[in-house]
Amino acid sequence: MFVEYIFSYPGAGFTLQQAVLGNDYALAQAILVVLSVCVIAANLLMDLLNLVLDPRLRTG
Amino acid sequence: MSQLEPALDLSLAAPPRRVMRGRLRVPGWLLLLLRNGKSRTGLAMVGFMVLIALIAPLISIAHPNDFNLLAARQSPSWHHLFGTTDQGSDIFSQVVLGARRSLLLGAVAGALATAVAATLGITAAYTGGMVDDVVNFLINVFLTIPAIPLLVVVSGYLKSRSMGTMAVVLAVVLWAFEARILRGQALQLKSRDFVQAAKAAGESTRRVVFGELVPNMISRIAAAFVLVFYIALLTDAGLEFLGLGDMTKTSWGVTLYWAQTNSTVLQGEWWPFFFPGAALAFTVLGLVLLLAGIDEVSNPRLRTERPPRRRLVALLIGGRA
Repeated sequence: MFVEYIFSYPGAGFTLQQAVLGNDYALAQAILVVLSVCVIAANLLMDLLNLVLDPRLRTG
Repeated sequence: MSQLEPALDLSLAAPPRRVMRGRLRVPGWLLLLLRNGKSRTGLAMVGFMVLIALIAPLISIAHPNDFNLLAARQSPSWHHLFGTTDQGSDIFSQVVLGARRSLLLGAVAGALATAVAATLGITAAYTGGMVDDVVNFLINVFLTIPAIPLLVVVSGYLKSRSMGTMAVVLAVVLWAFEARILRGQALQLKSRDFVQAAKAAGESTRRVVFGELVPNMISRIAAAFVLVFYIALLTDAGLEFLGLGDMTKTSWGVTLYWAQTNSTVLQGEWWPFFFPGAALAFTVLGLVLLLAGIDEVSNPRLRTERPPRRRLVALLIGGRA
């Protein structure tokens, strides 16, 4: 987010900041939901990959 | 070597309550922190910033938001030690007075978050069962949602952005990190013999928690406070940098925000960015060192033996170690 703001890079973080400053709450909430889903999906992917790569975590 | 034989001869087991040093009375915990190199450096750095914040009105030369277009955009000089902004405000005054708001906000948010986290974490670990499940679920929810976008959205809804509300918002979002650490520590301590013994002896829950658990966790609680202190300091500066703070006040983040808004770096002015950023980095580095020091003092396994200086010099000049 901060990187996007500094360089005015048109990403989700920049849009979120503009939405909040412009009192566009619906857009801000939607971006937060999308970002949260992305983080959760990335965590899930990480866990699954860990399961594949690390045989110690596998159960019978 | 030091891994196998923790140096327990240092007064870890029973820190002296108070030590007379000349005419000064030094509390035992402070002496322990001062004996460790890392925490000594960290304490000195943080203490320096706190001192600056306390004497700020005496050393700032002008009102931080006075504008004087004749003296705008000046590079650092003896007259304006840190230069001036686009409106001609003195950046030295802004940084020095901004330290007050930034540090106070970080400390208040850290203290609030610590209070919430310690209460919830210890209660959850000690009670167990349903309560533990609910608290753990809450912690997981807060840890999963990315903190900074959440903070941005929440502070967007705020009508007032006074220091109190900002501290509460930061604490509400940041308590989960701490609660997880403290819950784990309390769970581990709960099964230790002395707690079981106290329970078996029929001590009341209050006495077991405040007499046995909390005193043994106090270093963890202090470490967690320092951790949230610097995270809050950084996130608050970040929020203000994004324009989501109280723009009428003076703090490091606000100075950075105006530096960005007036695109100072594009015009070759580095000083409105550099000095507040350096103050922030200095404080955070001090807090990180303090945190590492607390960890080392409270956990003898992390302690490193200091190599004799003679050996270090020999190593540097390539002689035999």
